[in-house]
Amino acid sequence: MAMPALPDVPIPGPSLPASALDAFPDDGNRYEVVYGELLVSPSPTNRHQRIQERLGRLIGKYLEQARTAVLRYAPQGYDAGPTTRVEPDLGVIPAALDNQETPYQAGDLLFVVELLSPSTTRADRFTKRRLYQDAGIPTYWLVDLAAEAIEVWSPGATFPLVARERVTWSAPDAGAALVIDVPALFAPI
Amino acid sequence: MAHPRPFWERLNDEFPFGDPAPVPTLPPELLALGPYHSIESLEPFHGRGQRLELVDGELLVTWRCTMAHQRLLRDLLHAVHDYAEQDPAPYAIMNVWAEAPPDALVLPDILVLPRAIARTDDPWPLSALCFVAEVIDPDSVRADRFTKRARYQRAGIGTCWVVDPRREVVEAWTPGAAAPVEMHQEARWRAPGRDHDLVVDLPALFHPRA
Repeated sequence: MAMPALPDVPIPGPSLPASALDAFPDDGNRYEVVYGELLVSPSPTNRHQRIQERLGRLIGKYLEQARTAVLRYAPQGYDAGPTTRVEPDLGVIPAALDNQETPYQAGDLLFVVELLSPSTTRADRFTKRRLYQDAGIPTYWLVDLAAEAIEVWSPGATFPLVARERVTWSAPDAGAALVIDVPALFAPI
Repeated sequence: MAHPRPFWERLNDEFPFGDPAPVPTLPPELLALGPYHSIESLEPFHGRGQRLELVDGELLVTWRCTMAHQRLLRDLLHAVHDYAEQDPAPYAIMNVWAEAPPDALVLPDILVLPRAIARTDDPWPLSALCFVAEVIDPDSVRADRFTKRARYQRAGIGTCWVVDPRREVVEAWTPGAAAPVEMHQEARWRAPGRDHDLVVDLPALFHPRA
């Protein structure tokens, strides 16, 4: 997929501050900055949206029971220092932060999910994954639509665990774990 | 003195490559390994015409560099060499691989490390380097400026220069810095224990006399 054209806004230099994104237009692309590197993602595919919505519903229902954390969808932004702002596909933050007015920090996230698209593979798999690990986010799921698998990353991991059958995640102080049937997640409508 | 055109453009015009060479394809066995790599898994694939580097499991492939890159690198290498290895010479400057097992293996354009470590036969740890310079090439902009630079910072390397011939600037990155210090006239670096700086005249570097 071709890289979307950059908007006609001033670019202060090759390494961007996160604040530069404030001037970017709402044009359907997703603009993020990680350690100064600009990441531009075009609108996701239908399949990406379908699976994101399906997974979001499962996580949301689970969190309604757990009540200790809440789900946020992109384009909710999270900062990490002056040169990083990301908008993960799905992010879970503590319920205590639900009404916070100040910007969320990447370190607030308990759980992050990104769905791989052809145009975001490198960023999701390497650039943002490194950020999520650096920020100490306990669990990062990388949903590989092509392989129909979920990579599970934790802060100290060098390589992911790859789940093809089932994968679990537990919210803090939750009685039971969220269990995702991986083939069912990828099943056609 | 004003220079009508950047060195980068001038040199590439003077030494044209002719038709672009075809991009070599990666061996199918390498592609079959999947998206994440290790130093060990890459071992059979070195020496086949591409530079295969690894940062946090991400494979970075370089297969050519421009004449301008080579010329600029040579001049910078001489300057760093003269500084780092002057008597007494506690430092060595090398063009060698440095690693952080199991998932980082890099070949910086220029690296300086303590001579005591350079004498050993063991692979050199990334964290032992005290200075690294990467000269940006059109094929390696992202890797040099972001991926490798961020890894050098995380390894605690005291100074990383990202030399940008197009902008005619040297970015100096230190561990923990969110933004570089940009140097336009002189690039300076002081090695630990030295009482004077390496000083590189940037207009002369970017606009060498014929």
